[in-house]
Amino acid sequence: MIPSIELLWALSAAVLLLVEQVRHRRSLRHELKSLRSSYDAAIHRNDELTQASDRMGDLYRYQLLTSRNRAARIKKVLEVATSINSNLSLDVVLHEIVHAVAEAAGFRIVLLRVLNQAGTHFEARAFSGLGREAIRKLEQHAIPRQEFESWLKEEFRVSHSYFISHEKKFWGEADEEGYTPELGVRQEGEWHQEDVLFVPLYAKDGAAVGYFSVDDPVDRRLPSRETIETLEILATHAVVAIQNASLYELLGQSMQRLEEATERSEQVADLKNQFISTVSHELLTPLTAIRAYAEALLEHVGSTTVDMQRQFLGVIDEQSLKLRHLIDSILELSQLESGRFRMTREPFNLASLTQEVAAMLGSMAEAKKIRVSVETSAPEIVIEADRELTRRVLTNLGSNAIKFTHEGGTVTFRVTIEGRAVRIVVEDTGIGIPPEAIDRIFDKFYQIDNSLSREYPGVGLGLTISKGIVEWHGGEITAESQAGVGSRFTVVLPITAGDAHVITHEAWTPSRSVSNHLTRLTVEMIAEVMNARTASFMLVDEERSELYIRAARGLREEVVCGTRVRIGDSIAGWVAKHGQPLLVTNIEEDPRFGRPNGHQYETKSLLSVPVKIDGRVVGVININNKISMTPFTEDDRALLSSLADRVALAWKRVSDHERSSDQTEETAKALSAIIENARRSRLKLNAGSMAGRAVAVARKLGLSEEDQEVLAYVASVHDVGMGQVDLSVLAEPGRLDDETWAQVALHPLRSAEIVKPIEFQEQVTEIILAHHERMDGRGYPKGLQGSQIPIGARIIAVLDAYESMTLGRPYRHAMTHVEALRELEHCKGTQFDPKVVDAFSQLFEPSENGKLIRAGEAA
Amino acid sequence: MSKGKILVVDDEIYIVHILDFSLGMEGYEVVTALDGEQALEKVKSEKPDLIVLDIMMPKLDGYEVCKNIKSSAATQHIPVILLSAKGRNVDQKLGFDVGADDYITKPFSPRKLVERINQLLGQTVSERPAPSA
Repeated sequence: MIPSIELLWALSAAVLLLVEQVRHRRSLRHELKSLRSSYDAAIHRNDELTQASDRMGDLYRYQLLTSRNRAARIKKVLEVATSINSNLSLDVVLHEIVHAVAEAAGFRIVLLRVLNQAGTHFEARAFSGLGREAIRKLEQHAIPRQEFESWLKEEFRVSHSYFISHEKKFWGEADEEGYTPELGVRQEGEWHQEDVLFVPLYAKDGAAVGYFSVDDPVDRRLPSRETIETLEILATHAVVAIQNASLYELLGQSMQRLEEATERSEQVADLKNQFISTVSHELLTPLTAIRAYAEALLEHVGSTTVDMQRQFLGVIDEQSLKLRHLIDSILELSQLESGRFRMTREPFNLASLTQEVAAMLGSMAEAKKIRVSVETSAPEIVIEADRELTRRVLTNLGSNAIKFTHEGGTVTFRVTIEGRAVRIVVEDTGIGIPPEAIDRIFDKFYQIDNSLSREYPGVGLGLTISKGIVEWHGGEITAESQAGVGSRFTVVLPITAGDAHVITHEAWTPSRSVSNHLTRLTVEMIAEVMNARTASFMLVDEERSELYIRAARGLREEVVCGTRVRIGDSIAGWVAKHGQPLLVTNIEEDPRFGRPNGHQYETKSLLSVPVKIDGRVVGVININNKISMTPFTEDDRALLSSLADRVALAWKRVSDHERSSDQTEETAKALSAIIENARRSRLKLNAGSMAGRAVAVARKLGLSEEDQEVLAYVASVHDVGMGQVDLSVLAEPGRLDDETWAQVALHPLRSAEIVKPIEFQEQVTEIILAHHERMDGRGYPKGLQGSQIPIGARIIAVLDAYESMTLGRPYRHAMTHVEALRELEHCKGTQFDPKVVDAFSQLFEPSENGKLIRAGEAA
Repeated sequence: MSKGKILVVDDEIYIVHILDFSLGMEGYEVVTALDGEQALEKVKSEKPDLIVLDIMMPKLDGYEVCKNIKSSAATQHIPVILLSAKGRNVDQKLGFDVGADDYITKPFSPRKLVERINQLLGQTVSERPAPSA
């Protein structure tokens, strides 16, 4: 029985899910283990610190046991030490410490401030000798770290503390140890009410984690060496207490997170077990029918009528199909869930796809006399998504709507553009979904109730799969309904794959500073032109010999803020060190950087190029995750290198003319125009990579590598000026009037003008200006002839014409490859350079689906 | 003359049909129910000689139906065969705990099911005093 083999497949997919689950638990256990060891390390460090302070205590016992007063101080210090080590509640410990400070060092007023978690401010945490009102005020007023640091002037330092006299001058020279010997014997040293003594709490790494501020000494004398050093011992204890408590808190948080994760993973395990038992039940149901009917038929084949046999075979057939459908759905779902889904993003017209789906559902609807209509906000709504998967979602929502709608009802598809997203609404006048069920309809196998499933058969996976597909595209699906009135499902999909925000990060102030706005545009421009979902711009921190991420698209904020790469290390570091671009086709197999693929990379290919100003590497541009999901190629490398050169130039100009906002504005305009142009051309149906084609033709014609790079860039920007031409004029059939013609004829000039602020090669401007010139001199804007036209422009002219012919216009059908090629041949010598046309027709051929590919790549 | 009356309970209409056919060919009279509640009504009104009972059904599941039948003096003598896709040992044990006379897992062979029914009815018929006595 064939279906049972597939059943085994489905069940083994289910077993895989379980194995994954076990693996997940194992990693949780591993995390717990490492947490334990870090806790042990913390305890150990705590012991060390305690021992160190005990030793200091011993020293003081020896030195200071001469007076009872001193002995009492030591006792107090030791008591506090004990208390600190036995108590992990930070507030209790800090309270004890400030009181110990007050008593042992003889100050009426003691304030302890502790650096907050963000490390920006010192907050008042413990007090002695202060009234409620004063405490409230102190608690409200945190001291910024910089302000505190500004007090730590060498001239105020005594031992490791700081005494700021009201006279603002230091009272005695410090010796080599930073200690002022005459302090203790200073006779006339009365404490003034404006004097302040700070005792910083230094952590092991030398950073201040807090400080004591003391005032109003009991003896009204300036602090002695002994007093200060007593304070400093107490400060050591306070540091231990603070670090212990925060480690403890951290451990508590981690434990809690771990517990939550374990609980979640158990819930997931339960769900998966439940899923497996539901799956097997669902699979066995059709199988049971198939087996029972087949056996009954075999047994009674001689005693049954042909009609009856036909009926039995009909059931077997129907149930086999159901089984098949079920297995397909389960496999698909498991792929969606495991993230191993294959998706091909390409631009397509969602409006016409919706029409197609509605027409296909027509026959199903006709049987029930249901009217299916489509409303779209424009005849052409181009989005970049997986066409077949989108069709699945539309079909599923549409057929559900028809299934649950009574005879004579209506089902409506509505497609609208909202900003950079499309909204697809599927609305019916059906039986609706009860409120208690609406949250569960996207669950696997969920059907509102079994009696409904008899009336409306289905496997209960359609909505789950649709949700998976929509979310895989970065979209969202929601449902609303009123029982008895109808249901409305809404899908929101991003128009292009790259609609992620650019995150900027200022880690360090470089000598050449460029605004966040311009940085954002730079990254956006790179991502859009390169068709990459992930792009990052790293800058060199020369002081530390590291790279950090200045801005990125498609990376999480913590990655942007937390990444630092040593020059020479890993990919970006290699690029920065050698000043050479790097193209990695498969990161897992690359001998230089072979490593498992990080989860932020959907594809295994990446491209990294240096940004050089005056010959020095100042940054690195990285791109990953090509929207088409294919690896980057040498053509992409040529284009990105070319873009990097423009970025370098733009940054140099902007930072050289820091005061001139004109420079910044012009650069921003150029970048924005390029971004818009890239988006526009990506959304053209069937448009291919102009840059790739240009490089291929240039290479074939023997142009230098540098010229190839230039051409890759020009191919990506030569039409930025079209953004200003009213596009509706191109949509009108018939001849263009003079004014419109003037607009169109001016676009090469406009394009050249727009990119000028980021241009340094005369060549680029020349090619852009001349890409509508003709060999016979009848082109525009200058009417150049033959070899007067730069070769680059002659290449772009052919590519441009081919693309415009095969894309078609609303008033003119799109030509096939053969037709377009015939036209190019026909205009050889008059409009086009013959050798460019020849190179082009030798290099490319149409693939099965009508797209242009390199000859010989079809296999 | 029928060999006996059998109540077939399953929410899957195809299964009900095929059992109706197979048992009918064997000379049994078949009555059907599509859920647990209907099954209990039919037990009362039809007084079947044996019940073939699915477990996973809406409203009232097979375990509950079986428990109900086996706890009433009027119906506890009727043999019950549980027929289910739940194939684990615990499911079977639960079935016998609620008093089922046999447990057959889906997918099943109609031939074997008929044999089990013949067996069970053969025994019970012989043990039962003749109606005329």
